[in-house]
Amino acid sequence: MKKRGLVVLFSAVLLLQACSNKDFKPRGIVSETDVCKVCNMSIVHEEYAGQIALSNGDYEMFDDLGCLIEYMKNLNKGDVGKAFIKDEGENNWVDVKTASYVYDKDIWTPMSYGVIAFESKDSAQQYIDKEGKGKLLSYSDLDSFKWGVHH
Amino acid sequence: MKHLCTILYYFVLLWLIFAMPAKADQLTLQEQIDGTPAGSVLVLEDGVYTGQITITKPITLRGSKHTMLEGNGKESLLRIENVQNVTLENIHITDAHVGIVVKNTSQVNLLNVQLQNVWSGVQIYNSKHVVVNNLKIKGINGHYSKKGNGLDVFNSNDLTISNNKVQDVQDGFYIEKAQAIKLTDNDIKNSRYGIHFMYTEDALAEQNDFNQNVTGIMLMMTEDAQLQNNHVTEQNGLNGSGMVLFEAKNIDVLYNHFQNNRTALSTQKLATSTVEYNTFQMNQTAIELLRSNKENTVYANDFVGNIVNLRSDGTSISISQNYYDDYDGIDFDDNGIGDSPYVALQSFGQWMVRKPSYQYFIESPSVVLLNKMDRQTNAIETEQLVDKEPMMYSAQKATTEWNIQLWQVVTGLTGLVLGLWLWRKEASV
Amino acid sequence: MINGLFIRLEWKQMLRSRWMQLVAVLFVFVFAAISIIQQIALPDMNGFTRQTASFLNLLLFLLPLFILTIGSMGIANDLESGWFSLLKTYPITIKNYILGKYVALVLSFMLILLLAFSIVLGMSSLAGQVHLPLVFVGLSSVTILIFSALAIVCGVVAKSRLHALALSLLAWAFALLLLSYALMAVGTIVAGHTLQKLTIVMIHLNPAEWVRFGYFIFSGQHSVLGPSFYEFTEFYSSLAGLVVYVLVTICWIVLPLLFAGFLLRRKGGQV
Repeated sequence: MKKRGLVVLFSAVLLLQACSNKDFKPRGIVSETDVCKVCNMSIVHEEYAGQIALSNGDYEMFDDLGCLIEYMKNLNKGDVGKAFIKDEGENNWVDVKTASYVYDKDIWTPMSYGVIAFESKDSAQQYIDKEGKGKLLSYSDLDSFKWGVHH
Repeated sequence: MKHLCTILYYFVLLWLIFAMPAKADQLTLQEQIDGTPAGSVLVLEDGVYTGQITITKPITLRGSKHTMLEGNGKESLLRIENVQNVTLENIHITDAHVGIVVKNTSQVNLLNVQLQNVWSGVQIYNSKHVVVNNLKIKGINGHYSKKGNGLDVFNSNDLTISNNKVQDVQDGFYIEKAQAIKLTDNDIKNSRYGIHFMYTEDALAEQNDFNQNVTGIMLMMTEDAQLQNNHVTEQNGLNGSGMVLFEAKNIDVLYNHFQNNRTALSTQKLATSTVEYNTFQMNQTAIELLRSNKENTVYANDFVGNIVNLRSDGTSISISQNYYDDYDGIDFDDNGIGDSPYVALQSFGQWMVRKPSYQYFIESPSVVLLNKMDRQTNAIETEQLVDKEPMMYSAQKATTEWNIQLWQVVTGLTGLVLGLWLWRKEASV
Repeated sequence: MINGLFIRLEWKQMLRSRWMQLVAVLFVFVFAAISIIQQIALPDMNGFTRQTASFLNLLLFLLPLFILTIGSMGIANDLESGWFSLLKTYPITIKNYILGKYVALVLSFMLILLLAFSIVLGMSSLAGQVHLPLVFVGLSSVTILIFSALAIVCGVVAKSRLHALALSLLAWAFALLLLSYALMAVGTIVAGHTLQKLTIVMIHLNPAEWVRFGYFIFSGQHSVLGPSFYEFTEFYSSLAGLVVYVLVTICWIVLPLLFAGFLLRRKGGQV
């Protein structure tokens, strides 16, 4: 009796997984449990955090943009649902592919990679003008970016 | 006349005792500091001083038994900037956002300072030849993600940080881009990371005590560090680890004692490093190796009572002459080294590395049986996680205290006698 | 009155059975041996270590095995030998019969448990280090309560004593090993969050896992299960969670007994 129930349940869950929706949304950070998938650091500076919604419904969290990009490089294209990064200052999630980035060696991030994200190119440019430093980068620049060698 | 003199004398004495401090209080601490010539010692009376203070000349600030600096909890309280030869001694600091900020200095000594109810204790930027000794730092209440660090070090070199007690902060010591730093005899608990190294070169962490942090030592992008004789216990929270070595080179982990951690030592992208003469006792996982494939060695360690001794994601590493309490080989030639290799590879351990949800099954009945079967099938394994020369005996011996607890003996015996009597009585016809 | 007499009769028979006596000796011996070996070898620590794990596994492996086989064969024997038919000529209802069987089974194993824990307590205090967490005593009792009910179902379902033995072994293997292996195998294909949900489902559907899970909750070691079960364990550590735990445990006792009664009534009609 129980076994049949289990079989039904198993297949139900498998089915559910098979037809899970492809509309990827970022999830909230649970500071008690979330650690960076790459460097293992617990995520305490939420303003720099990133996450990847995998196509199978799992989430991987990252404490720094650099860790996220490194993890993305080793993933199959099909496995990535959508990747998000926190917007500097605004504290909302933005798509890494459309975001603009600013690098300066003096910008502090949890892994000291020194790259922060902005939702639009304008706000990134504004940051550079205001701080008087920084270099504007796009998503495609990040691929060839040398992470963590500037010190 | 003589009487008058005596009375006058006592009067002056009383005036000195009571009125003087009152007058001194009228000068703010900052004014007192400004009035102290460079190179001399300013001794602070007992009492509570408020207001922000900046030291920009070489002096020694020495507190008395109850000298207290009190802030409003919102700003940095004491700043030491652009100066050489400053010593701060014997002071209590309470209710500050940051207790002490040290910037662009050299030869600064912080001795016997107590910091309480601070978001962050001490921050040191761009300084050299700094000594921090015997500080007690206690952070604010709440989750570690809402706190600052006990002691921050940025871009500095030649630091000696010893005999400090830090608790309830985010990272006990956060060390970024430092060279030649020594951390000895410190005691860090109830924080996120005990010591957090980033981009640091030439570091020594010795005889520190880490208890109930998320991670004892978090070492990242760091070269040439020695971590030795540390006592790493009870980092057993959800993501707890004794030490995490990430993207590091030339790290020596020697003579440490790891006990009751979730993962005692986790390494990732580690190169030319050694893990020797450590004791791993009763950890859920003793050593976890991820993507660390360049010339690392695990030699002469003791593995006692761990659930998983070694697990990896396929990373190769040189493992030899360790002692494993679950090694079941024999030693015919009596040279202290077992005749058959010890294979630490377990299917379950490898799964656990890949998917965290497998954690649920840790040491469950099914997994225990699986491990037994692994023992048989893996006997032919020669590549992954194999120690070809397992030691027969542990270098250290666990000490057992013999204390007979009478009430337990009595309760036990009573239960036994009662049970047997009942059985006999009921079973008799 | 009849019921009290029947329980007493059953209980006496249980204690007289050679097999039961053998089980008691074996259980007590293994229990004492493991605890002594482990406690001499390792210092005493609070937390989930190999020592506590082996204690827990010993409970989970041995108790259900003995309870299921002895309990189910007892009932199957009654049915096979005609003892049950004889009993029915007395003013005893099926409810009374099942309850009597159940209570006698539970009491006998509680007695074995008392012996085992007494020995461990007495010996471990002599060996220097003492640690017999109350949570083990509590969970062993829960194990006995749940698996005795399941043993009765196995006995009622079985056609003969041998069949009862086979059935109880099958149930035992499923609860302790096969379901976990199946889940672990499934876990290699599905996503992490699916495995996590399936595990939670299995914890509720498998009494052995339910007891094991109870150990982590009541000994305050939820972190052992890892971050992916954080919210789940947080719930069960709360008061509401405790209430749910008790309710589910009661279900695991009452539902099998009701089911056994239902089956026996149908069977009784046919005889």
